[in-house]
Amino acid sequence: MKWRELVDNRRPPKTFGSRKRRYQARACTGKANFARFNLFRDVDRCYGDGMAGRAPAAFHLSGVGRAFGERDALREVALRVEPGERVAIIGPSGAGKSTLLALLNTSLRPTAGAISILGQDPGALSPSRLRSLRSRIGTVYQQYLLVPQCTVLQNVVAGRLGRLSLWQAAAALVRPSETERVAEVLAGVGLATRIYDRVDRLSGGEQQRVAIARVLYQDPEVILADEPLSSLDPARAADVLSLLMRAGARRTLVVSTHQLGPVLPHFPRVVGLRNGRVVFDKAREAVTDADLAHTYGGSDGELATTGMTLRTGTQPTTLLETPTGTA
Amino acid sequence: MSANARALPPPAPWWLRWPGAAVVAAGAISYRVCEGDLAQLTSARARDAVAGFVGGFWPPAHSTEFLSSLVRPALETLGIAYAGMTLALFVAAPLSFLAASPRVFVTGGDQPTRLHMALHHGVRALLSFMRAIPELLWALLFVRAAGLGAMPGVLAVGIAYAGVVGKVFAEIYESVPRGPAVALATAGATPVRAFAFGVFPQAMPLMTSYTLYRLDCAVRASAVLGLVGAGGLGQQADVALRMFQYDETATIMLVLFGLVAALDGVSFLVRRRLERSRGLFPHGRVALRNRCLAVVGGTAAFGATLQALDAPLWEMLLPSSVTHVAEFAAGMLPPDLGELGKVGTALVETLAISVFGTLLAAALAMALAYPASRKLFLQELGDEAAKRFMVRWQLRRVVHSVARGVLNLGRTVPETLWALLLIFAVGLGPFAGALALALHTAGVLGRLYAEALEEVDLGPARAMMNTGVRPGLAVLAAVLPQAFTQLIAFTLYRWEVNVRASAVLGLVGGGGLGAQLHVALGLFQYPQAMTLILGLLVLVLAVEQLSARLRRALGSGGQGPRAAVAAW
Amino acid sequence: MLRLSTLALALLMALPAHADVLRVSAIPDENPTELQRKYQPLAAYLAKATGMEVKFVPVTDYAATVEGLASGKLDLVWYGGFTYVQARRRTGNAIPLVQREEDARFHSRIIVSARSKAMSLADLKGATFAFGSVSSTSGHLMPRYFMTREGVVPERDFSKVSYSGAHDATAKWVETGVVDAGALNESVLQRLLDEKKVDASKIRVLWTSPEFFDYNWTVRGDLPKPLVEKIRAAFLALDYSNPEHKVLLDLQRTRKFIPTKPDNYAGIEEAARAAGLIKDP
Repeated sequence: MKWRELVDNRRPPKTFGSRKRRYQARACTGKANFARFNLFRDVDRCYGDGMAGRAPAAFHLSGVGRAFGERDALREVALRVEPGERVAIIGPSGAGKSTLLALLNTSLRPTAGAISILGQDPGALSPSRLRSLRSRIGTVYQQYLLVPQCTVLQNVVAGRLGRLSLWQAAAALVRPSETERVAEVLAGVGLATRIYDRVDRLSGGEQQRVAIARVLYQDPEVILADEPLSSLDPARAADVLSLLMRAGARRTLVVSTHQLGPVLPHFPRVVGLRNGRVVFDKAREAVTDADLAHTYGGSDGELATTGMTLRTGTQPTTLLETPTGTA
Repeated sequence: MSANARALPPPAPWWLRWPGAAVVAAGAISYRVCEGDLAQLTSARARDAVAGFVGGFWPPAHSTEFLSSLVRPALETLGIAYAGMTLALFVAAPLSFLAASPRVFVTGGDQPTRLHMALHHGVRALLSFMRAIPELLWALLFVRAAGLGAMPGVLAVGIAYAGVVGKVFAEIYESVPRGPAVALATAGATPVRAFAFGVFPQAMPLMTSYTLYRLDCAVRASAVLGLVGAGGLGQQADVALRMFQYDETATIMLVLFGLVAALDGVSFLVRRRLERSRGLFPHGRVALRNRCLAVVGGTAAFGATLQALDAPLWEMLLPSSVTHVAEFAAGMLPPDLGELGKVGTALVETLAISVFGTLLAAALAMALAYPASRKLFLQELGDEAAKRFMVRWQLRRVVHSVARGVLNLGRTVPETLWALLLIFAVGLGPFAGALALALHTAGVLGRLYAEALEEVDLGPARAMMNTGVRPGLAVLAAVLPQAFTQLIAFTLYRWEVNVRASAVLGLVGGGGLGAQLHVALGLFQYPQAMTLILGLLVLVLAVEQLSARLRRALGSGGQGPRAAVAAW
Repeated sequence: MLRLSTLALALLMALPAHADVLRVSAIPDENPTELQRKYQPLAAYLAKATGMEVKFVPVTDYAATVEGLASGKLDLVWYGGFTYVQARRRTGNAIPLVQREEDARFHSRIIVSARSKAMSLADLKGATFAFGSVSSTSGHLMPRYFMTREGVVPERDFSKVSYSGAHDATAKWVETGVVDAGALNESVLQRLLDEKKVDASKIRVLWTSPEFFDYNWTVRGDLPKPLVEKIRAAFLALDYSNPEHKVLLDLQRTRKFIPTKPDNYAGIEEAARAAGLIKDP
């Protein structure tokens, strides 16, 4: 009896409420203490003044091809992405967008050409060096790729497995300080109260936000997003997109998509892919309807039916206007 | 159009075409080889025997003295099952990681190392060996090698089940979606970490429910192990049966039934809890403490059970025990290859028992699965009109209960006990064994079939019923075809299990390999016994290969751990 | 995790070593519950005589008793003649101590259904036949040996040979017609008939074997000499006129125990060799 009281005295007074509510309370008090955790990356830390010129390219591909058996998914791709750049990759289904992203996050190796990621050639790295390179690249997937049976907390912590050992990661699940940090990240994506919920109880939009939180917790230098919006309805898509933009602020961000209307306004640079080849690679302002038509392989009339022309997208703004309200 | 249709030759009847013809031929040949004689089932002797059983079984023995004498064996059976299953988990869990295809660990385009491949193949072979030998045979060997009492039972369940559990766990890892693990690997996680956070949590629910299901089986198995002297209820049942005390046999079966049903209830609760559980790793202090307590508690219960069973498992690690087991094993080598002809005959007979038993079971189960399915027979596809005619509706409910009862009975009574009963109805020999196998397997398959039928899309059947088709016909025409490959997969999995089982039936007079093994072991002719065991091993592995091939030919419905989990 | 395994290890270490226990067992040629009942009073008696804790270990596999003796897990076992021979061959030093006076001139019987037309062994040609356990002396070895000497070779002359596992079961199998004929131990048959477990009107004794040495109490060869002598003396001291002893002896279905020696079983070993049941390497 005695020790029980002793122990209880050392604890904060019990709150009679759901775990969620209790958690919320803790998360609020914790905020001040954990403000140092840098949720949306501070660019100065990596690419401080004067560094930009000397830093290696985030991605540098020359003559890259990737074949699956007989079929060439990518051919002769040359691409250079500078640190901090934001690039949208567009193209019809089967154009090779996913293959390109898989090459960028090193889960695929090219079958032709040379690739350099953050200044390193992934093919030449030892497994452990490859892993440390990978831990600097975060990927958001169309299908989320979360573990549905696990809590949000677990899924988010798993993002850091490239840097934490198994035991550290397991410990992170129970150590309050670490939980606070995860809560911080989740608050950033608007899911602070769902930290202990199972992922399969969340809606699609919420799951994609967990996936973004996982990447944020991973704290990579580069974020890749493969069709991050295509499983979501327009309203959710807009939410997720703005989160993604905040997450990608001052990080290198490469997004593949075919929802041009809502996405393109945020990206200064657009790369068009078709049949595994780069069709165009220019500043957004320079992209013409003809470029898009060429990429999507039909006349303007056909494009109109798919809702993917420059001026008849779901969003009234044109590509040529600078986006407002997001940064 | 009709002219075109007439120009096509009509297809040959199914029993002349490839899969059907093969099944019919296999059935006929195996029927001959296991000296089948269905006429015996209607002979005067069989009638007497059945009348004797039915008269003798009722009322079950219920004197306080007898009931109290069952308490300890019942607890012993539970204890052996629990300790054996825990041992199996301790052995299987680490092995399952290696038994899973190395590709599960390789995410992001690397090749598995050569060492990993070698270990993988080694562990797979080891697991095959462990499960190819039936637990009853392991028990027989351990009774010799490791001593008396409950210990051989625990070891037998532990080793044989580790072989199965390790394999099924590995298949579960291989089957869960790999996306999350790949995502983690692409974020820099090592293979092991990606596995721990990306694969394992997804596999956990299925693994746990499989473990619980297996515990269920372990209770049944450990009840049977008594037949070879490993204690528990089986010993009592064996004695009662051999002494013709049917009332006592009936009580023992009821107790066993109760144990299994109670365990079923517990595992249902645990599984429901699991569905709401929030992942593999604890979240927060309280959960951490609870989980640690559960682990410590489970381990302590394991130790306490061993202590209570007087089965000092740790003594197996003492040098003297190791020497004794090694000596025993060495005494079995080299196998005596002098009488290979006899071994061949026994193998053929064993195979025939398993084939005929499984086919007969499939037929019985097919007939009973529909009436036994509550959802199909009474609820979803119940004849709405029938509800208005009370008599017909009540009749339907009775048919449902009877079908369920028959399946439960078949499942609860282990095949060895069925064999002990059946030798009085149809005489000694392989036919009794095949029938015993069929009765038990029908119980297992009937339940699996019913579940598979309930899982399919009922839309087509409802549409058909709306056009006035009877529910039974609608099931036949619109439900069965959807589940068919699944049913065949279950049957094939069960056949693999039955090959082992039919080897054991000989130990109680059911013919086949077991009969010879029994003699060889009884006379200390260990090299001969080794030859027989090796023969069994070859047979089991060959059947496993064949079954896997057939299941692959069936396509998607024939594979996946769900089928394996359900049938093993 | 580490702490857990340490705990487990500590638990392992803390387990008690073997206490002063005499482990007694018997071949399972009868109903095991019957065996348990039969040996409890004997265990109590031996405990008093030797001053050790005596524990009866029930076993359902004949050969397991042999392996138990060989691995030192059993100290004193009630063997049939053939199992004794196997134990002696397996251990090299097992000592037969005492036997019941009946065991020095034991018989097997072959029974058939009362309706059977067979009048002699030769008439059984083509019948189905049951032995008891494979390892049984009076239920398998000796009947097989004597039958072979009379020109009836089981595997050749019977249409099916099977092993029921125990004498009681053999009797039941013959009674219910599972088999046409079966061989079993005379004393178990007598008990079954006495207790009306088998209907005397349904079976008939076809043949009785010549006499042979059967059951004995055997101890492990490496038991201390004084203890062995104490056990032997305890058995020999049993006196039928003493009411306490009478209960015990009645359960063993005898009037007194007499000493026995390895030579008594040379004949059985010979028979086993002749019947091909033991093969010299």
